Amino acid sequence: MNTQDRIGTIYSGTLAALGAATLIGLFVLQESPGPLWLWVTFAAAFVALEFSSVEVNDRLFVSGSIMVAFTAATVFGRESAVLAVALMAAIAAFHPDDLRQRRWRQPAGNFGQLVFSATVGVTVFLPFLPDGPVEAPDLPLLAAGAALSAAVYDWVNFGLVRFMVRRLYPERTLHPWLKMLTNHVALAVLGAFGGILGAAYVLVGPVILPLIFVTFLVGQMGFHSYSKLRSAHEDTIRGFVKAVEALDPYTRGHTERVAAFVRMTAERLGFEPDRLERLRWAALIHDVGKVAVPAALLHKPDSLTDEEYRRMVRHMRVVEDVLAGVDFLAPMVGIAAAHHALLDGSTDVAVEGRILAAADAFDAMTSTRSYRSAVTQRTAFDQLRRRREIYGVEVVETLIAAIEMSSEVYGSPDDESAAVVERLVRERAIRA
Amino acid sequence: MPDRFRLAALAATSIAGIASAVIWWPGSVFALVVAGYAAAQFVPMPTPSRLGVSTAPALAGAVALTTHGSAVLVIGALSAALPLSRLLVHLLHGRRVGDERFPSEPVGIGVFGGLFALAALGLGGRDAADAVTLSAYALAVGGGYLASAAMRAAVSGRGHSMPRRLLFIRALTDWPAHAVLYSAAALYAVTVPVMGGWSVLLAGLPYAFGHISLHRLQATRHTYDQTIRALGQIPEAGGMVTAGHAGRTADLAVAVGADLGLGGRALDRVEYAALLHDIGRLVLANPAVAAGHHTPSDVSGWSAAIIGEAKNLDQVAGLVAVMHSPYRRPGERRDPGLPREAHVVRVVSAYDTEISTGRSPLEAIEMLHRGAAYDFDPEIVSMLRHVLERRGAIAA
Repeated sequence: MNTQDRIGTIYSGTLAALGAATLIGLFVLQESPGPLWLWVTFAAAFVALEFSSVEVNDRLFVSGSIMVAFTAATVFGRESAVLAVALMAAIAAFHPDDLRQRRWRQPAGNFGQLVFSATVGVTVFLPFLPDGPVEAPDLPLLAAGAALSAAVYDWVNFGLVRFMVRRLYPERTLHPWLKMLTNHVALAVLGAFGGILGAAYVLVGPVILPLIFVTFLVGQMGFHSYSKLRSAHEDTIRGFVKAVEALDPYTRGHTERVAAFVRMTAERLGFEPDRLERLRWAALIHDVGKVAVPAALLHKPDSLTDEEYRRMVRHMRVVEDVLAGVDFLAPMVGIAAAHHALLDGSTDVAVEGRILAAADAFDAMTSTRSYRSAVTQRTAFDQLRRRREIYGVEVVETLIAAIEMSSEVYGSPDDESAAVVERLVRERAIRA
Repeated sequence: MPDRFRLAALAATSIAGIASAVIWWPGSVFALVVAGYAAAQFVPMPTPSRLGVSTAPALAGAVALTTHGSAVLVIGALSAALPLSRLLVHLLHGRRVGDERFPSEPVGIGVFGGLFALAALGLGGRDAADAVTLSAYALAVGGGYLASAAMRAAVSGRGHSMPRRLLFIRALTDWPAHAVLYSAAALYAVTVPVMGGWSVLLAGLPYAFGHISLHRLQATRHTYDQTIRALGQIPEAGGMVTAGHAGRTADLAVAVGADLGLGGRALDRVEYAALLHDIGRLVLANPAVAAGHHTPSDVSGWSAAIIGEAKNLDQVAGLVAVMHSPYRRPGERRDPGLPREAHVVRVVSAYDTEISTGRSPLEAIEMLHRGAAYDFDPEIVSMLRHVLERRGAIAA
């Protein structure tokens, strides 16, 4: 077992022990939630929703389990709320895939994390619950208390996850808590709604459960289909780009690498998720226009003349105009066009266009083409720094730092290898 | 649907509504319901059939349950109020809003109301939060929804050779939106006596969740369709295919497929196959390939390989791969394994290619007839002819 595995086991074990101690304490301090069938119903809903978070917006995943938690807390009252929800969270820690693959470390850590977070969150909620049965005048305080408690639940949960990831996977970047504000607001709203729903159950009776179930089921199905269709949409474009790349052996994998460099750079620059996503898409489609460029022009062994370059850009623009007709792709096509404008000498280009241009240039330099060989990574960095006036100092230094941090090395391993490949490329070009 | 029929239906139900209002309702309450229905036309919920449904059913459901005690009097006017609200919308905003949902939506609400009113006679003094009341409500919603779907099939079936049975099944795919509307309405109705204004939030949030999910799904579907269309146009932008060929082929192929009775997903596959069947021509950008000999089957193979890179389009790739297989070879029987969708695209693509060479629609159809029973499926050629006659491209 290596050091990282050992540390992971210690942390997961500690969390699991914390979770177990918390549960034991709750069994002593709280009453068992009843009736049992009601707790089982809530637990089933909690677990089902915990395992099926839906993508409600661009990469914003929300699970409705927190809503069920606060519904149950309201229904079971002060005497049993914390134990009822902590038990549900304990069960939800064990995903069927973990059991099938006999993975224990992850579920153990999840168990402690979920039980502890649920306990803290619902404990904060207790003062907002009335002494006796819920009545209509209790609703405002209940809703406010549930929202606050859901935020605490979320904050503790996220804090524990962040603690573990930072120690076990230091190379991974986690969005700072504030940048995921939309997630946290959504969870607080769901918590508040759960409180109101619990009150409705107490005031009206179990008859409202099927009505809630139907509307949320349709919503869940809709978001699930939306998520699948989004993936299908992305797969379709990526598939097309990959197929187009396959037509030219020199650019195979180019767009994926550029998209990766762009993502790394934009993350370090602190781009918001939406902005990052647009830039990533722009990187994926930035070379699609080349399909309309005659091959003789595209693979010319020597540098293009000004007129040939203008012809190439004209051909590419025709395809870009077609893609710009797709509402979703229009902003990304704009970024790709801006990156071309930078190459044409334009100085007024947004940072997205400059990042894409710098990433594109880096990959072009570190790949062998029909007219020259790949250079070493060090040489490519030097070239980028020489062009810092074009791409921007911050963009260049951030891209370089991101690549160095990734521990990957691109381009030729050394100058001698680059010289050998250069000679071979030129010989083939002359023979062609 | 002929305008005279629409106007007659509008007039009849409006008169019934006014009469019922005069007899049973205070005018102000009726006016509020009419205005509410009118406003509901501007908040349609997306549906798989793309016709949408207004939030009027939710209003109907809420009114029906909250006035349970006098449902018999109220329901009679509810469905009649809807045509009056359409008149209001037409006067204030123009004819386009909600036209596609008439008369199926008021018929559905009317049947729901009538069924619930009948059930209310036997429910005695049970309140809205009672399980028996809600069961009766659910059955009435089901009946109303079936009536709405049947009316839509009947109306859209005019002049359409697709069996009404299939049109009805297609109309039933809108059930998620109706389920959300009527459930949210019931949630409001059962909680408002004890929770007051909080009921709006309790019903509104799940409704919003459902509405947003269906809206996102529809928007993403629209984007996906746009993307497929754009990808299909790229060979045209590169000068490798006649401009507009992909779009025209897709449009006609979907019409022929619908007449053949193909269901929703099969029609989507036909449309995508028609849009993308020439994408393989991008390979011809390589001069070494362009200089060599290639057949339409080669292009189909290249297209299928490109389309197949997107895993979700596997079935479309399969259609494109075989679309240039002949319907039947001389002396052989027809291969039942060849999908009809592939032949639809083959026939329509061939038709558009003939048109692009300067032939008239009639001449192009005659060219296809010469190849029928061998190159082209004769039934599909015949269906294409019917579609063109319906569109006035050729005389009947």
